[in-house]
Amino acid sequence: METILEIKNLSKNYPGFKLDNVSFNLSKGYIMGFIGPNGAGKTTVIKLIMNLIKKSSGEIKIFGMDNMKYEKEVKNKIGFVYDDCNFYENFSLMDNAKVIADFYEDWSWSDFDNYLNRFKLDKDQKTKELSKGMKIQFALAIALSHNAELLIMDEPTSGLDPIFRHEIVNILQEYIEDGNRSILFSTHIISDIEKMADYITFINEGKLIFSEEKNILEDTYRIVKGGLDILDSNIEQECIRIKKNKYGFSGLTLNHEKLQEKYGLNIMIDKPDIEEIMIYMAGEDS
Amino acid sequence: MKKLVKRNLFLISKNFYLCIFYILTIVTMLFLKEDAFTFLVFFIPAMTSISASAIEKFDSKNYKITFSMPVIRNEFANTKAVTLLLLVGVNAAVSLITYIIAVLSGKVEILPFSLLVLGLSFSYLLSMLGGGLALTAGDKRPNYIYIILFIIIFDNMNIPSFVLGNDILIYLISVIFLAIGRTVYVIAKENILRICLEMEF
Repeated sequence: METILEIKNLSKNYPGFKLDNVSFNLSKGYIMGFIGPNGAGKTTVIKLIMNLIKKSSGEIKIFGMDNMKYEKEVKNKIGFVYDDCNFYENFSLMDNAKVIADFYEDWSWSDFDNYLNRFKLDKDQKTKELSKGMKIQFALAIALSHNAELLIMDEPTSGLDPIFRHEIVNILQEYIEDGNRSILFSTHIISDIEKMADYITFINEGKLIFSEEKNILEDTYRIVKGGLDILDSNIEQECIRIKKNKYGFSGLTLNHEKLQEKYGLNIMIDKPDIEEIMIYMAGEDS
Repeated sequence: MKKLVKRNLFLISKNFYLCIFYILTIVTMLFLKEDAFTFLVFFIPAMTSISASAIEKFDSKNYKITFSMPVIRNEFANTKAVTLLLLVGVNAAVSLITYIIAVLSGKVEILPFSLLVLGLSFSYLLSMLGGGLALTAGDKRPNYIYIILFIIIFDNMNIPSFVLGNDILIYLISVIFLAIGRTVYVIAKENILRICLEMEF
């Protein structure tokens, strides 16, 4: 598999926050969901990829090229959609596109027109008059109109209603269809990720928790539940994190078979969804 | 760089209504006051500052977008400096044409060549100061401030009597203005570059 995005030991120090040795890869033709709680460092990683902030250490390669040394070449192949994409607020959509189009070698006006039509956006409307959802749609139209091979999206669906989000998910699935493009999609709305991501990268408090294929994650992790009377050191040892309440306990484990064998019908084993894995890993209510 | 210059000119053109209003104000002043020297000295820097602040007004809100595109920060900073020179050139041309029209229509007297050189060199210095400041400090002043300042200065400016008639002194002062203007340009260019390279979003 050809690697499109390669991040090695990436660190960034801020007063009060440290992105700590984050490493992960994204291969061609796949969608990576980049998840984590608010303030986990997702946006910091994306800003580092886009060279909007300076890294403290580490390496970022995009299409096999260093993202700083070959910034122009690399960014020519990247489409970006940010949560706060306002563009030139007093300009019409068309004027915005005119300012932006010149910088991309493969800009396609017909693609741009198609996306505007599809999103029912008026090219003469000013950007500041657009709703949040329309701004995201416009940013997406820009990002998809220059034949980008990597789409980087930072919380594009936050604050949007489910219909809008569903539409965006559909478009991204279309975009990825030819197998030559990839998407890094940062969000804390797990349902969007579950619909489309092939890989999940999870960071928390600036540290990488895992970067894994979604199917493997779903097959590997299990939630074990039982009464407090059977909760012993053995269970605690086999669980990554345990939550307790007055009715019993539940814990995330990688060794459910071993526990099932030992505790039989005294415990229940469930398949967790990505959100549950994230909550356990993030240490909420532990 | 060509693409960036084109973009900067496009951004200025989006503030064109303001430029037209300003040109009309200044030209009206020229015809009312009949003082070509003061006109030359202040038209170019005022127009340059307004245009530079128009670019900065757009850029300051959009750096994150701009630097997410295939734009190199070094190139971006250099282009801003080149745009500053370009603005001075264009505005100098416009002011000279206006001056010639005013002379031909008999509204102002023709300036001695030495005073023309002095006026242009002083305007170069002021343009670098005003334009450089707008591009480096992210000019937040409302544009009408330039118009008010211009009217006040226009109405009160006089060349010291010991300078008038002394061509050697006038040329010497002109060279000093040009040298200081050039220094200000270099400092402004370095500052724009430093700001662009250090900027984080």
